[in-house]
Amino acid sequence: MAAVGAAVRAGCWAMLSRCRGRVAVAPRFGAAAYSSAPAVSSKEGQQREASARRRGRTSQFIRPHIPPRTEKMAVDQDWTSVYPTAAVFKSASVPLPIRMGYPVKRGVPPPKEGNLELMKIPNFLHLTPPAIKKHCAALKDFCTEWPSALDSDEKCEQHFPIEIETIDYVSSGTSIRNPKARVVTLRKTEMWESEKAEEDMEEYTWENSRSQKNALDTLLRIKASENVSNVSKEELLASEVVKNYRNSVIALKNEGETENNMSQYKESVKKLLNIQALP
Amino acid sequence: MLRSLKGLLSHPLKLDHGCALHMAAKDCLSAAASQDVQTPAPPPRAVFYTSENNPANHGEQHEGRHYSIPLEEVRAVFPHGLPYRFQQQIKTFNEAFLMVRKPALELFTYLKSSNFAHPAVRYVIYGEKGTGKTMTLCHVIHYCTRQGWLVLHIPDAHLWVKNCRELLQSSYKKERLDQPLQASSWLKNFKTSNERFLKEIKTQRKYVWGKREITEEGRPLGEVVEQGLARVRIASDAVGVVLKELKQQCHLGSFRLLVAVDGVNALWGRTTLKKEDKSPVSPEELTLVYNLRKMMMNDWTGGAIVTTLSQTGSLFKPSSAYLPQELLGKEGFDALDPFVPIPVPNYSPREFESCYRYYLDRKWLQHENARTEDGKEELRFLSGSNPRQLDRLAGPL
Repeated sequence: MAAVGAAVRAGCWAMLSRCRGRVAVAPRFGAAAYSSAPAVSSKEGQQREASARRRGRTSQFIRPHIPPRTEKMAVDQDWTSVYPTAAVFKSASVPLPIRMGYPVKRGVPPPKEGNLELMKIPNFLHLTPPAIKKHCAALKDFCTEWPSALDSDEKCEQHFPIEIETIDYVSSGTSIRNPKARVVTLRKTEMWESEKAEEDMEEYTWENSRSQKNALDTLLRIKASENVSNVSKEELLASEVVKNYRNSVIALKNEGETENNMSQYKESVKKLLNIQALP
Repeated sequence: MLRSLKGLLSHPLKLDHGCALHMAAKDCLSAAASQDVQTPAPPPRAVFYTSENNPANHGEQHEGRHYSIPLEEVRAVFPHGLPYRFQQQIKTFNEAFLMVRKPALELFTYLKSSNFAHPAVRYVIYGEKGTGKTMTLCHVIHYCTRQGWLVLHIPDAHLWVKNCRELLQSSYKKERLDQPLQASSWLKNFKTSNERFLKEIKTQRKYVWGKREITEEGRPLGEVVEQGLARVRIASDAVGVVLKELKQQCHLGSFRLLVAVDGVNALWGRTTLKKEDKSPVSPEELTLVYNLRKMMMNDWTGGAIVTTLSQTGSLFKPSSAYLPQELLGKEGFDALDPFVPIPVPNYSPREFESCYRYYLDRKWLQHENARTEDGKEELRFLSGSNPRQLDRLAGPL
């Protein structure tokens, strides 16, 4: 019954086309319009071939339209055999409903059939995880074990301070040569890195800072005024009040100023300088 | 009697169908009401006023109350340094009333219990705009003057880094620049507030001002100040000498020194001054700023340093900045570290109440709605309990 309906409709179309001459056949699928050429759908193909047969214009041998391979693909097939190497995107071989391209107004991106945008770009359909696994399995016979002692990044850097970076993948474009392959980077600690100044530091460190100097000077002067015998710098640094002060200054500088930070700083300075508030 | 009254009332009732009664009743009521309003119980003055005029005796019980400073004392202690609007208020009300607030009381406790053999402690008063930092500083200065300290008050350090017409190259050090006008005006005010000390303190070495002017060793410091005022060219150097002498002699114990600087963040910021070749001047190239920075270090004993941070009048700082690190910058913070920060908040409800009552009492708030509770809440909301905003709002009312 559906076939009869289709034939009747096809007949109508054919009549219309005869009446109006060579009129461009409007796309069958609603208001979807796109900038690239409308793809030929199976029904349309059938109509064309039906109308061609009816009209008897068989000057060219028309191949019977076969459905694309995607319709016969199983879900759990072996993809590495579909795309074993880098190849152009074939819309009939990739069972994904991808759309790519710029839509016209009130339209959608064009589908994958005959989509030049999809064909132009490099694709990595040949490098899916199972494919990589197969590559690794094949290469394993030629590799040795990773040394078990080097299990962290720091150890690698410590034992092998020189790092050389190279880029050696091919580019899929008009030329397979990747321009970045010419660049080799040698990385190790440079001499100028030791000249890093205080302004460049990312975080504030209290040791060797002006704040530490000030605090120690003040404390030494206080001790001198009280005629306490020479207290060494290390003793001062290790004392509780100085540690407290150090933490509050670091918090103030690194985290910015908040009410909490300021009150903590105030308390630590009061303890440091021995200021008592009368009750 | 009741009958006669009834008779009186009933006549209008008959004539005007009760409207007159209504009106009469309303008139009676309004008369009674206005009588009530005209004689309200005046709010007790104890709420906002205290008679304790010596800041040394101010304690927690005086918090939120105003105390008065006699006008002659104002002229002697604060030749410069009071905020401009407060000076206008003094002129209008013909009296100077200062509110006692917590930050000032806190500072008093620290000053009272500080050990003068230790290096001078630095206190930094900070807070948002208009919360009363300068007034707190003035309160502390008044306290110290009453206690007999020598007060070195720099009213606004920002004035020294901007708007200077004349910059002279210093004769003492070639790279530095002098500011004769600012230095001489400061010396004049300093002389007014510290007359007796200038006679007592003696110089400790000889100073040569020029070819013919020399100040010998052992002369009173007042002579140095006179030199500075007489010969304006060397005023900045005179200021430097005064500061140096005070710092050196303070530890001997004959006097206590209070260094009070308003707007201390100007010393470590940028200036808007330019040299003759249009290159910008950095603060340490100015003699006044250089000498004042030395004063800010805590390498002397026998006194205290109380400073205020101020965004108003500061250069190249956003108007929302009020925290110490934002205004002082890294250099300033490192120079003043370790200091005791003292935050000054907006008015608490009690302080707001006190200020409001003071304005009412002085008849400063004339608007009739200002007297109502609603008006008070409106003022509180509009000003956000910020002292400066309240002052500005109360002005036109």
